[in-house]
Amino acid sequence: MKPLAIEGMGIVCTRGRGLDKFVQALKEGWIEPSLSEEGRMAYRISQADLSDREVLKRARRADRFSRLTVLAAHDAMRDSALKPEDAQKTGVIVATAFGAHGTIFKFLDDIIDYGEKNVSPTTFAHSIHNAAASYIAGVLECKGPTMTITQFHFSFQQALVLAYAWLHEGRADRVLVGVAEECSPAMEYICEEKLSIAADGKMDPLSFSEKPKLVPGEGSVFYLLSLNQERKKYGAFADVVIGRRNPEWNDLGLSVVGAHGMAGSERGYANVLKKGKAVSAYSMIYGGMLTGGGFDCAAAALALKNQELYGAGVLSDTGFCKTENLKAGKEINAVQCVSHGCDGELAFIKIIK
Amino acid sequence: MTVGKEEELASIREKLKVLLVSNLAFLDELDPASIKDDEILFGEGLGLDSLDAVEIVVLLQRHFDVHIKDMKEGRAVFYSIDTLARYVHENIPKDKQ
Amino acid sequence: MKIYVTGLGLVSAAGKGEEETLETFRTGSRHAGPVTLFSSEISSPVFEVKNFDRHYYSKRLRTVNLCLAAVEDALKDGGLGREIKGLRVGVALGTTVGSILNDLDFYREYRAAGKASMAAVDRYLQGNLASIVHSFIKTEGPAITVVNACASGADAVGIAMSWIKSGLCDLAIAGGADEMNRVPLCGFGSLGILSENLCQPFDAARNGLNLGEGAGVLLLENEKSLRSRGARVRALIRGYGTSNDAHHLTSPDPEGNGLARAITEALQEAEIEASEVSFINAHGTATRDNDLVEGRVLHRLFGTKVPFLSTKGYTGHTLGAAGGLEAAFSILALEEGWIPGSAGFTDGDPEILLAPAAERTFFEGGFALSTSLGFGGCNAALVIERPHEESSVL
Repeated sequence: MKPLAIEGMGIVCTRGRGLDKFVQALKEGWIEPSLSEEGRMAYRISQADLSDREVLKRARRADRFSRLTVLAAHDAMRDSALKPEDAQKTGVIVATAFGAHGTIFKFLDDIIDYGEKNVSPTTFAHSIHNAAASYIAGVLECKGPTMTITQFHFSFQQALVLAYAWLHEGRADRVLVGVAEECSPAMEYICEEKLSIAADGKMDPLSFSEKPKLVPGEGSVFYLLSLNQERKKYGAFADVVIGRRNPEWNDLGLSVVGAHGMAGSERGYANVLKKGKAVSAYSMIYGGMLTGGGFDCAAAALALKNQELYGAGVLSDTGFCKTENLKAGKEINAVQCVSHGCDGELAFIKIIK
Repeated sequence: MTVGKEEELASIREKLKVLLVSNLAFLDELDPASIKDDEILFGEGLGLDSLDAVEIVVLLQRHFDVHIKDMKEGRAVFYSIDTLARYVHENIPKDKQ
Repeated sequence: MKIYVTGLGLVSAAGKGEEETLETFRTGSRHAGPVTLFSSEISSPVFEVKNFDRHYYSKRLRTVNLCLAAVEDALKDGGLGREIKGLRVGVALGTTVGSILNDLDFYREYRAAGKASMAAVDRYLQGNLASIVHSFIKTEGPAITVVNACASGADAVGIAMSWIKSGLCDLAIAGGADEMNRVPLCGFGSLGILSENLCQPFDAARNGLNLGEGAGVLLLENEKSLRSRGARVRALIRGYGTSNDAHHLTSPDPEGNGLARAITEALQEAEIEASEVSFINAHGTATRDNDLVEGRVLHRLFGTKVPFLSTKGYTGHTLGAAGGLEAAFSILALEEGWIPGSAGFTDGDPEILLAPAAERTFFEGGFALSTSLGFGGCNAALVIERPHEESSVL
C-alpha cells in the first residue's frame, strides 16, 4: 500500500470542535462526563459546537448526526487549504457503527404517535445512513464517489483500505475519510444493559479488563487523504492490517490502544504490545465508540506532527510504558493504532511522519 | 354565535405558521408572528423546497386531517400561507372544525 | 486487469434462483400484492419473496437470510463451498434496512417502560451483512457493508472490483440484500413516491414505485484465482463508474450530470464507446423524477437505438439489493440474448424522449450497462460483458 498523505484533519467531540481543543484534551486527560435527563453519563457534544451558520447554510435540515459529520469534514478540508475548484474529484467515505440512530428512533416515534401514513418524510430521509455523506458532498461540492460504511468493527480501517483502492485506481484524486457516531437516550440505555458503564465516569483502557468499563461518546473526525506526499501535513497512513496477524512493526515510537469498552474483553491487547515500548490510550478523552479508532489515529497523527507523546489521564500502568513515564526528546517516526473486533480479529493502522 | 369565516382563516393561518416554524428547518430562528399572511412559501419567500412540500402535506394530514391527493394540485395550494390556509379551510372535515 | 464473474445468486419476487426468474421474464408475470410479512395500513402493492424458507439465522433476520441464500447459490454456481482456502476473499455487500436498529416492538416497549428486552438489539448486533458473510465463509480479506441507499448493491460490486484491481483480494462476494420492512414502506409513502397501483417505469402515467425485497450476489475473481481452480466464466465486469450529484438529499440533479459522469466513467474503464452497448438495465423506479432524469441522460448518451428496460416492474424497488440483482439480471440477459419487456410500461412519456422495450427484445452484441441512482445523489453504473467462447473456461 502506498502511503496515504494526511493533507488535513477536522474533529468534533465532547472536548470541542477543532484540533487545538483536541490537543488540549490530550494534554489535560480525563474530564467528568455529562448527565442526561435520564441520569445517564455520556461524553456529548455541546449544542454550541454543532452550530455554524456559514458552514451549515446548505444543510439547514441536517440532523445531529449529519451536522457533526459535516462540520468535521468541512474542517478537514479547510485545514488542508485545498481550493474548492480542486475539490471536484474528491471522494467521501463515512464510516460508522450505529449511524443516525437518534433519527431512526425519531421516525419510530412518528409511527407510534401519528400512524404509518403520517410519518415525517424529512426524518425518513435522514435516517438513511448515507444522508451525512450526501450533505458533505453538497456542502463541500465533492462530486467524486461517496460511500457510507456501516459495520460494528473495523469500519474506519476498511474505509482507509477503500480510500487507498480509489486513489490507486484514480477514481478520486483525494478522499475525505472519517468516522461519525452519535449519542441518543435509547442507545445509552442499550449500552447500560449490554455493557459495563463506569460508575465513577472514568474509563481505564490500559487496564486490559475482561469486562471493561465505558462511558459512551459521540463525535466525528475526518482526514483529507491523497497520494501526494508533498502535501502531507500530519504524516501518512502507511499500512492497514486486518485479520489475525500482528505485523510487529519495529520502528514504532508509540502504540495507541483502541480499547473503548464496547467490544468485550480487552485482554487481547496485552498480547500484541511490546513491553518497554510506549503505549497510550485515549478513549477516556472522547468516550466509548466502536469507531474510536478514527479518533486514536488523530491523536497519533498529532503526536507525530508535534513530536509529543500524549498520555495524560491514563490510569492503569500494567507493565507497559505509559507515555508520561518516557523521556522527552526521542524522535517519533511511526505510531500504530490497534483495535480488536470480536472473534479474535485485530486491526493495525500504521501512521508515519 | 358562530365564528366568522375570516376569523377561522386567521386562526388557521396562525396555526400553520407555528407548525411550519416548529416542524421545518430554517437557517435562522423564525418567529411565527413575523411571517406575513401573503408570505410566499417557496423560492424567494420562505425558501422552502420539494422535501419541505411533502413535509407540509404530512403536517396537513396530522393536524387538520386534510389530504392533498395530487402534488400537481399542491403547487397552487402551496403558493403562500394564505392559499394554504384557504385550502385547509375548504377541505377540513366537518367534524374537525 | 480483467474481473470475471463466475457465480450468481439471486432471490426476488421474480424468482428464487435463475430458472424461476427467467420464467418470470419470459411470461412477463408480476408477483405483487398487499404486504403480508407484517400488518400495515399502507395498501401500496409490494413485491415480496413468497415461500422463502432458507434460514441460516433467526427467521427475524430476514435480510441476512436472503443474503446468505444468494451467497450460497453464488458460491455453488462458482463451484465453491463455504470454505475457500488459499485465496484472499473480499466481501462487499450493500443494504439499507439491514444496517439499522429499527425494531418497532423494541422501541415501543422502551418508550412505554423506559426499558425493553434486548432480543431485537442482539439480533441487530449479529446481523451486519459483511461481518456475517465474512465469518460464514471464514475468509481473510476485506469486508464492507455499504449503505449508499439505492446504489448500494452496484457500489458493492464496484468496490469489489476496485479491491481486486488493487491487489487486496483475489476473489470477492459482492452484491446486496434488503428485506420488506415497515420503515422504508412508511418512509417512501411519506415522500409521496409510492404508487397505489403496480408501478409503471418510464410510462407517461407513472406515479411512483412499489417496494420489493431480495438479494443479488455475484462471485468476482481475477485471472490468477480463476486459473488456480478452473471455473466457468459467466461474464466480465468491465467498468464501474460512481459519482455524487452534490445537489439534494432526496431529488436527483435535474440535469443528470452526476449520472452522466458515472456512466461515462464506466464506459471509459471498459474501453468501449456508447454505441457498443447492447442494452441498458436502467434504475427505472417509476417515480416522476427518477425516470425523467434518467431517461433524458440515457437519451443524451445513447440516443434512441439502444434497447433499455427497468426490471423493477418484476421485482419492485429492492433498495440495497437492486444493484446486485440488476447486475445478475444483466448477466442472464447477455447469456440468453434477450431482455424481457419492461413490465408496467404501455405509453411513452414525450418528456423522457425515450421509451423502454415494451416486449421481449432480442439484441446483438455483448455489452450491458446497469445503472443505479440513490438518495443522497449517489449514481453508479456497471458495464458488463458476455465472455467470448475462448475465455469461458480457464
